Amino acid sequence: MKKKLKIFVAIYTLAMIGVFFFSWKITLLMLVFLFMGCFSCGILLCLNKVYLKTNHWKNQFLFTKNFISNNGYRDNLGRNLDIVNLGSNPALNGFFYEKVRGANWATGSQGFPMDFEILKYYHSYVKEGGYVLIPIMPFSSISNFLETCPQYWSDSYYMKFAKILDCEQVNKLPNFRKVLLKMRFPLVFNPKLAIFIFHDVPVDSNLLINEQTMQATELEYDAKKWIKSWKTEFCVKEYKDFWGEKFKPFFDSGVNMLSEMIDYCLYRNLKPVLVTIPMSSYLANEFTLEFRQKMIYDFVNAANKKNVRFLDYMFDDRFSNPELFNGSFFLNMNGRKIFTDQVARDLGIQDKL
Amino acid sequence: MQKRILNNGIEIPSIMLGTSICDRQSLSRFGNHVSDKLLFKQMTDGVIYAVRNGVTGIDTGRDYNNEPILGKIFNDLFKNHIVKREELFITTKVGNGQQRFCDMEKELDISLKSLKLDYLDLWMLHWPLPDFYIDNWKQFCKIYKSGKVKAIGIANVRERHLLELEQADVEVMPQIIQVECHPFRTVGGLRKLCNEKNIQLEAYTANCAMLPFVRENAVLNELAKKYRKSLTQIIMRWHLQQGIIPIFSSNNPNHISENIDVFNFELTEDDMKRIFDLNIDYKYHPESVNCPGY
Repeated sequence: MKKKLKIFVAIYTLAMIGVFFFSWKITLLMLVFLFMGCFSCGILLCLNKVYLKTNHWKNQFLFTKNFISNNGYRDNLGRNLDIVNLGSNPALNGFFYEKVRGANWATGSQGFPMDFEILKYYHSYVKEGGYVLIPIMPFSSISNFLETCPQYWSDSYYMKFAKILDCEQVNKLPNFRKVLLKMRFPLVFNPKLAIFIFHDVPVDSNLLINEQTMQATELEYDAKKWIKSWKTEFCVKEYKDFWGEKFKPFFDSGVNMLSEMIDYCLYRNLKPVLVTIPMSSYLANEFTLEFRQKMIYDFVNAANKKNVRFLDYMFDDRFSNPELFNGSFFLNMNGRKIFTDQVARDLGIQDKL
Repeated sequence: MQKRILNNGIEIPSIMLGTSICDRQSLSRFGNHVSDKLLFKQMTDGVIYAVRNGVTGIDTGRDYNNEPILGKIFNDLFKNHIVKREELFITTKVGNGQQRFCDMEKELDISLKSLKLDYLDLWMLHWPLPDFYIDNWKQFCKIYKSGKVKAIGIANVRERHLLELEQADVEVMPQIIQVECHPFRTVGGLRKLCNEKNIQLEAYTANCAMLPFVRENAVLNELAKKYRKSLTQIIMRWHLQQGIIPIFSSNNPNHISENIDVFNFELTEDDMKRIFDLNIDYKYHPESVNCPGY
């Protein structure tokens, strides 16, 4: 980028000098344009700096406090975690460790490839023999399909990981140069964001919500909305399409990646545990028995060649009460604590602090 | 100072002076901006003091960004006849960034040029970098056989890495490994394996960076009182008595003297065990954040 800018300035200057011999008026005009351009760029860069301090920008990276990278470990002396979890939004909303030494390594939308990269970079914080929870959700098996849909796994998706991974890992992310530039100059890529400098949003406190904010009819609608959005995301019309030929390669690559993650943990004396996260009865009822078998249990059986523990809470009646959720899909803080406590109890590590 | 003998017959000092605290980039990363001039002065004073007081082992690494500074210091030491080259035992390491280029011969030449030396006493891979370290180690073996380095080793390994090297059928196994080891991380399995394979163990962060929980530890304080020594001296002695070479990092003359004044007392077997029992496998330097995929 810097190189391109230098080349542009050099060519422009040469052009000005060249034009000067024919018409000083055009040269003057070019000079005015140059100054205006520099002035606009200066303003944009200043605004960019201010935007980076807004909640709208910072809300995207609230999860980073759960990750202590190479720069931070000398000031953060916590080590030997008993348990950590990877995973996507359901995991981010599913685990809250207060009675065990644990860390939630879910960042929001997060597929297996990024789960694996996070594990590779941070696993030394987990103690020898500690647990690594690998969440399996209804569409985990074919989530690699989203790599082919730039509208879902786009630059902003990878920006999150560029913030917390090692530079060598970041260099392997798709479009990493653009991703890094977007992180430094978001306003240059999307000037409309300037609005948030003047009308900022509050700090995102969704994770702190302690109660169900929807009523029965809203919950029904919310559950149907989730199903509809997944069908749109994966471009399918009916459930059976999810286990059709179109997704076979993605299912297979999901199986391989999960097996690889399990092996990675076992080789490093960590205990991988496959775990499904509860969903409210409203959403659970939307998934047919055939869907559950094909998309979750067949996937786990195919990937779990080493026969590691599989804790299945997805359709568990103990956690289907809508009051434990906020909406139909994500656990609220209260549900999160109860669920995490149960997982710790099932693993025999409750009250380890 | 006492010496130990490696499995290839090379002598190595029983205590080493580390220079990682003189990492220019790290210092600035943590807000301590030190000019080259000041850093050079601090390091020169520290190294010369240490050498004059009997420290002959000096440990650095390319990633500490101080090889050229040390080169100037060594040059001064030799030119002013403070010490002879053959009296020093100099270690440096190949960092991860350099390992990725897979040309160890070139990396050795760069280090030798920076350090102004014509051979190294010990040359190490700084990390067992996944996908690279086995091939690079094979290059290490060839270079070792050529005589440009007297001993080769790897830092930050676990048992599994040594076993992987064995399985890869390498010509020479490491003569030394260097890991984080202190009373709160006693690396029992690795120590046992090193004993079996006759590999010398070096300990970095040998006193666990004197973190608050180390300074306040009841057992260590009790032993310090009993032997009328400092906590650091108790820990250094504990390393020495089990045959581990501790590496301490300091430019401060008082600290240097304290760290090496450990040959005039002995911990009882019972006290050694009490220190071993402090183990909680505490890693001050979590490996994977220094070497992703570790």
